[in-house]
Amino acid sequence: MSETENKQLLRRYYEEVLMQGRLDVLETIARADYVEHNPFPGHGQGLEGLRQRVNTLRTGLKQQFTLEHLIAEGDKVAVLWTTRGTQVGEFLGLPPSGKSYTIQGIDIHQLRDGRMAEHWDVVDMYGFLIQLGVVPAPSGAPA
Amino acid sequence: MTLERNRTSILRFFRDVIGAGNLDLLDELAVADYEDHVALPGQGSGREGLKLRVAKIRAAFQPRHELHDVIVDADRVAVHWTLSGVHSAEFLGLTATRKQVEFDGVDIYTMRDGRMAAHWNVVDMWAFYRQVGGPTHK
Repeated sequence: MSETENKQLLRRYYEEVLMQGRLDVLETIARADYVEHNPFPGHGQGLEGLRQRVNTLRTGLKQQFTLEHLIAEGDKVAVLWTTRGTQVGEFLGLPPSGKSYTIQGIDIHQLRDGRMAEHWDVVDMYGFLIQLGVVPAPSGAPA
Repeated sequence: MTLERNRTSILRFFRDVIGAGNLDLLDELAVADYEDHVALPGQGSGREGLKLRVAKIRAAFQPRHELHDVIVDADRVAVHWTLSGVHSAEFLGLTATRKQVEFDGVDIYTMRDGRMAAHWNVVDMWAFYRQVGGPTHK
């Protein structure tokens, strides 16, 4: 697959799976042996682990993703996204707060044979926890 | 080739500028009107602001960056790294704790004529604050 096709495949993940909740699409765009390098606590690996991850995200958070940058080289794609969301359910041990937030994250996706194969990410969890009111903003630092 | 030129510039930035402190090299590696979308407080604008940023990060962490990925597109680069160092000077309002820190980040640069032109990033500051005993749960 070309780099353009790889980017297109990733767009389907954010739009159809994460935002529309079409978990069946994962069978088409992700590999059975999918490897998550930053799993949520207690989550498994493979396609089932990825379903679990999407379920956890969609149950806890109602999110609208904007893809700001997609950078592809070979079978790797980096995605910088902004998400505007609301915590509508329990999420990673945090009781539903109803609070809204805007944060950014960057995903690194490794594709193989035209499907999502591995994933790493760095997400602004600190900004997320501050906006949810779980931790205070440090004095002197920008929120 | 543009891709290789972009890659070389970014690798030199991490090795020679952030790693070795050769700030003057930025005159070659970054455009004068460099635009930082995640500027530190007081960083200032342009390439001169970038020099201040690098000096501040070097003083704050004595950092060593392990690069996991350098992904190069036609006019952009993404760099996924792990920084390890010692929190040695004030950073974002936190005075030096002398604690060992290790956290991940991804930088994204747009490139112009092989030079760094604009910058965004996401850094795992939550890991940093936990490691230095920063803000705890309310």
